[in-house]
Order: sequence, then structure tokens, then C-alpha cells
Amino acid sequence: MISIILTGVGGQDVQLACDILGRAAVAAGADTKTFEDRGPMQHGGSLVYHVRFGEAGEDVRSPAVSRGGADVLVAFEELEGLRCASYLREGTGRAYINRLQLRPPAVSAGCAEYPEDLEEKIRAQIPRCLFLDGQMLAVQAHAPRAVSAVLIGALAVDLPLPGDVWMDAVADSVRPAFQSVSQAAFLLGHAAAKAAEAVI
Amino acid sequence: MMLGIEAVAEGAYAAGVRLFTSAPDTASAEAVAYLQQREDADELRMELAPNEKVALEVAYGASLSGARALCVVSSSGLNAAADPFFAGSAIGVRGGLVIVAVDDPGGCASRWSQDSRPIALSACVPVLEPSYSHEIFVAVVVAYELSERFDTPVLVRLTRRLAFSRSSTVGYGERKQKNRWTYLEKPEKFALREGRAARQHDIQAERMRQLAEYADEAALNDAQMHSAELGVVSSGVCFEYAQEAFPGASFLKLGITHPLPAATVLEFASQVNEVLVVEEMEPFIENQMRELGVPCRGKDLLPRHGEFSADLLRRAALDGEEGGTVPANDLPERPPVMCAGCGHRGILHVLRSLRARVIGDLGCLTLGSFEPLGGMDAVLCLGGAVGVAHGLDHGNPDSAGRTVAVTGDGALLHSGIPALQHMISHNSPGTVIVAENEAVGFTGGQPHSASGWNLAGGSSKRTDLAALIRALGAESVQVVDPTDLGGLRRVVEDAMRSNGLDVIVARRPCEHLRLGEAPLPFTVTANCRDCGACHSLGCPAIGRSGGRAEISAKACVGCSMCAQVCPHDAIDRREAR
Repeated sequence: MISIILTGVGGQDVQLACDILGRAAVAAGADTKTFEDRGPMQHGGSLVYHVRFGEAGEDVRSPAVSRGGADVLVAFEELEGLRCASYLREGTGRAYINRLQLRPPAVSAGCAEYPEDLEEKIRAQIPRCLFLDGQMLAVQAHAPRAVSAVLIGALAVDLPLPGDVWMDAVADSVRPAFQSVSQAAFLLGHAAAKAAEAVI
Repeated sequence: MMLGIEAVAEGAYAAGVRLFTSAPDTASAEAVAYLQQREDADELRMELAPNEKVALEVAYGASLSGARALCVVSSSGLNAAADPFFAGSAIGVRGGLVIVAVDDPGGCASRWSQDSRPIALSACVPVLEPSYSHEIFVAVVVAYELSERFDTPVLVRLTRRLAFSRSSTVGYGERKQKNRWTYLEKPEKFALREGRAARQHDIQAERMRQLAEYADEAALNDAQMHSAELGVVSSGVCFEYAQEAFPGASFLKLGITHPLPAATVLEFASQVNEVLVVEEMEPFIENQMRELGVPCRGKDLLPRHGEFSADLLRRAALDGEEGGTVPANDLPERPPVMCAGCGHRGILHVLRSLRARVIGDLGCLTLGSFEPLGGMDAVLCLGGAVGVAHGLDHGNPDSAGRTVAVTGDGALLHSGIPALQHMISHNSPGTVIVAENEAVGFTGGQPHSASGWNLAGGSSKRTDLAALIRALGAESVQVVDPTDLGGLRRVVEDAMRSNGLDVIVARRPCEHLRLGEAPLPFTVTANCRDCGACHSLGCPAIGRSGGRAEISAKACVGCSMCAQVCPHDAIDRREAR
């Protein structure tokens, strides 16, 4: 059983990442369940999506990942990554963190403080983590809004799914006009994570 | 892969449902979006009612005509629909009538959480509880058969985790083409009259007896005998958690939880040493089992609130730990906020500067109840602002002149209008602000009667909200643009000082419904002294960088309110995008 947490801020396209991942797992023949964060949190709040798929014919029961039960965490924003660190299995859990800090309006207004040294704090809690600049890679792929595809490309390095399921999963999850640029974004994320694989 | 709520729509489609009604909420919005993708969507008409009472009445009317109808509600929505729910059960149906309720055990998407099953118990309505998307599809189809066979509305109860979970699904069948029945002239059964309550109760009791027999034979339940040590009885998504938490245990999965399949439960209990009931929220199955005389554990071990998980079950049932808590941390929260450039934050900004006592309603404006807007003193329920504010002033005349009721147009049209009638008929003074954004923004921008369009895709006739309120008898009704902070402040100040009823309609369409390009965005100049005045608006487009405010050109929609509140003339409109 592989359990994945996807987190970000309402307005970021975490839904797309969840769609791609779900399609890829189903295409690989794995029993798959997701739990999607629909509702008010989409208005700029903390989003947490759960994705689980079985290995070797195993069935998925609970659609939700338990605290301490996630194999991998993908964070679209650093603070949300730290907030979800407790979902990861202690010691073996891995994280892919988008290098981006979004300050909640309450922080800008001085009602709360955004933590300093976030990267250090994340690395202290999640020894096996990779930071990558999803926005820069998406722009390189001429798909500035395809940060989701970049991050799923990185995640794909970590998952026991066959390599040939991903391109269709990406293409089927976006509108026709964005298919090839989204695939390019996926590949850039994939390459970035491959290059860093020895590190994580 | 299909979301649970999409499986509801698919089940309704396959069962030949002709009319799908709902009030605007998050779950029904997903079902509507799903059905709209179908080419033959017009075979299943979708209608959004102003509130759940109307939604269920319309669905009931369709049932009366012999057609199959579906009504989707949130759990608090079932409260609003309770009258037709109880009456519909007492009278019975013609075409199958199924109500799908989406409960929110964790209160994640609602203000409180409530179990809709005990309502169905009171109303003598059978309850089906499927566990994942494919079962939801099957349950909806079966619910229509039960509804027609036993002459009753049927409740299919989901929770948020089920409605918004996607799971692998098998192919679905063709749409059942159901013949419409002819209308029955003056059927004695359908006109509920005084003096017949006793007879109706007898009919309901007999129906429940027959349903209990059915429940024991139903394929919806499933007993899996393994270890005799522990037998788990569960339903819905909790069954999935329990299977993961207690490998090796025996399981009785209940697809129908009211009436309880008594013989099945007694037989299962006789084969295991200990019975554990795993259900979120109320001890609904547990209490019915105790009535049968089955000793069991349940709420003595498991919490009555919050969403369960396999981990929580393991810890609570095996280790006796108090479950349900999320590890505390000192990270700043990120609650949902009002959208960048939403003009209606101007209302909360002005009311705060006037130190008004704000009685709010549900909807997008409650997103402004967090700091820095911190806009609400009290919020009761959908459509409740006007009535609560009136009662507050009545109970404590000292607060009169300070209290302001603030409601969105969706909430007012849902159930707030009668409270305005109440104020008018009692000659009550007061200040009411209606944020008219022409949609139900909070749940994704669904239309209401003042939107001018409907789910069928075309334009519709339209309620003129200000004219409606005038027609009710309110003499002072002013229409303002909430982004004109100075103008709004003057109007609100006058209203709070006056001795009459003043209704202020703050009109500005939801930014998500904007047609055409937004005005040019704003930018911060070197005049900025980082005083924080603009941040008091809580606009997510305004950040901070290098010792001064910073406005995201991508997020800014040019509403100009930050430029209005800036005391240093440091925010200008950009000259080009």
C-alpha cells in the first residue's frame, strides 16, 4: 500500500496533481482511492488531499491516510509542507517541497508570524526531502500554471508505478491545448528529482 | 474513478430519475458539474432551489406525478427540509423519492456537525449507508426500488469523506426508462388531514416492520466471519477504516442501518465474544443494538465527534487512547479567506471602523470573521442574521443603534426574508446590510433567483432584491457599491443613527462571475511606510516585501479599496497590465 499526502493553499492546483496521480495508479492496474479537499478551504485555506493505491493486487480500504502513515508528502508551499510533516512515517517518509512561501493575510497584517528558517525546520522533521522550484521549471516548460505537473513528475521518481503510465495520465488530466506543455513540465520535474535521487 | 457524490448522480441517472433538486451546497455542486458533462443531461433535469425545504417539496411533487426524484442535502440542510421530510414519510410516495444527506462529522466544511440518521429514525424513514463509490451507486439504485416497494422516502446517508473520495469503479448500466404514471385524481392518501395521525402512525409502523424483514434478507449487508474474539459492526466509510484497523476480526457490514436487520445482528453477535460498533457521530447503530439486547462496546471507546481513521480506531479501541486530536503545533493557521478584490470585504472594514456589533450570516462573509477583518460577533445559522439581530436589540435595548445584521443575498433568499417580514410587521428599528454578489459564492458560485441565470444554462427571470425588500414594507432601502468605502460608511452611519428600519443593499457581483477583463491592478509606490493600513483589509493580493507592502499584479482585480485606506498615498493604479 502506498499512501501519499498532497498539500497546498486554496487556489493552487492540488486537484490537478491528485487527478494525474489517480489516473496513473489506475492505469497501472492498482486499486486506488483518493480523498479530495473540496469546499471552503479552496478559498485560500490549507488544502490536504489523500491518495492511496495498492501494490500487487492489494485492495485499498480507507480513503484517508492516518497520521504517521504516509509514504510520501508533496507540498505546493513550504508552510503547508511543515504542517503536514506529521502525516509521514517516521524515519522512512519522503517529501517533495515546492520552493514557495505564501504568507496568509493574517501574517501580512501582523496578527500572526510566518515561521523563519522554514527549510531548516522542514529538514529537521523530514530528513529525506527534496526542495525544487516548481514555478521556475513550469516556466521553462512554457507552462507557468503547470506546477502540479512538475511536482508529480518529481514524485513519480519515488513511486513503484511503471514509467509508461504517466504521459497519458498527464494528458488526460488537462485540456487539449495544455497537454504537450504539461507533459514537458512533468518531465522537467522528473529530471530534477532523478538528478537529486542520490541525495534523498 | 468516481467521486462518491458523482456515484450518487450516476445512480440516479441509471435509476431513471427525472428530477434532481438541491439547494446550493458543496456536495450538490459536484453532482451538478458531473451530470452537466453528460450529453443526454436533459433527460435528468437539475434544479437548484433557494432552500432545502423547497428542494424537497419540488422533488416530492415530482414523485407525486409518478416520476423518480432525487434531493441532495447537507446535514444541516436536512433540518431545513425537515417539514416535507416528515410529512412525506407520513403520507408516502408514488414515484421513488430518495434523499441523499452528506454529513460532516469533523465539521470541516460546516459550522457544526450533526448526524442526520436520528432525524430519519424520528421520521420513520429507512437509512442506507454505503461504504465507497461503487456501493453508493448500488445503494441509490436499490433506494428507488425500496421507495416504491415500501411506499416511503429513503435516506442515503453519506459523510464528507465518502462524498469527496474517488475510488476505482466498475462499469455502470444503462439508464432505466421508467414510464410515468398517470396522475391520480383526488387520491385520499395524499392530502394529509387532521385527525388521521393515528392511522398514519399505524401505516408507518407496519411499513417499518416489513422493512425490517427486508433488511434481514438484503444483499446490502455482509457478514464476514473470521476470529471469534472480536466482531465489528460498522457501516459507511467507517467499515473501511475498521477493516484496516482490525485485521483478522469478524465483521458485520450494515448497508441498511434503519431499520436494523435484527436477526442478522443477533446471529452475528452470538458467534463472537465481544461486539464493537464502529460509527462516527451518534451511537445510532449501537442504541438500536442495545434495544435488541445485544451487549456491545462503541461510544465508551470511540469519540462522538470528528472523522475517524484506521489509526484512531487502533489507538482508541486497542490502547484505550483518547482519539481524534490532531497534533498541536505553533504554526500560523491558514483559514480560508475572502477572495482577492472581493468588494464585500468593504462592508466588514467599515463596520469594524464603526465598532458595530455585527450579527453575521453564513456564506462568503463568514470568511471575513478571521483576523485581520475579524468581522463577526455572532453567526447562528443560514438565513439567521436578521432574526438574531432583531432579538438582540429587543433583549437589550442598549445595544440598539450599534447592532448591524449582515447577510449575503443567498442566505437572505434561502430563509432570511421571513425575518425581515417579522421586523417590518413589528415596526422594528434596525440596520440590515445585504451583500448582493448575485450568486452563492461560498459553495462555488451557484445561481439563485437574483442571479439572472440558472443551471439549465440560460438566462432566467430575476428577483430585484431591493424592490422585493421595499415591497415587503421596508421604507429605507439604499443601494451602494461596497468598494466605495467613504460612501458606504456614510450610509451605514446614517442607518445606525436612524430610528427606523434601514436596509442597505451592497451590490457588487462576485469576482468569479466577472465578464470581461478586470480593471488595471494597483501597485505600491516608494511612499509606502509599511504602516499596515492596507493589510487590515485582509486581501490575499496584498503581501509584504522589502519593508513595504506589495501587491500581486496577478491576483489584484483593481477594486481600489487598498488605495482608499492608504494614509500615505502610496498605492496607485498601474498604467498597463
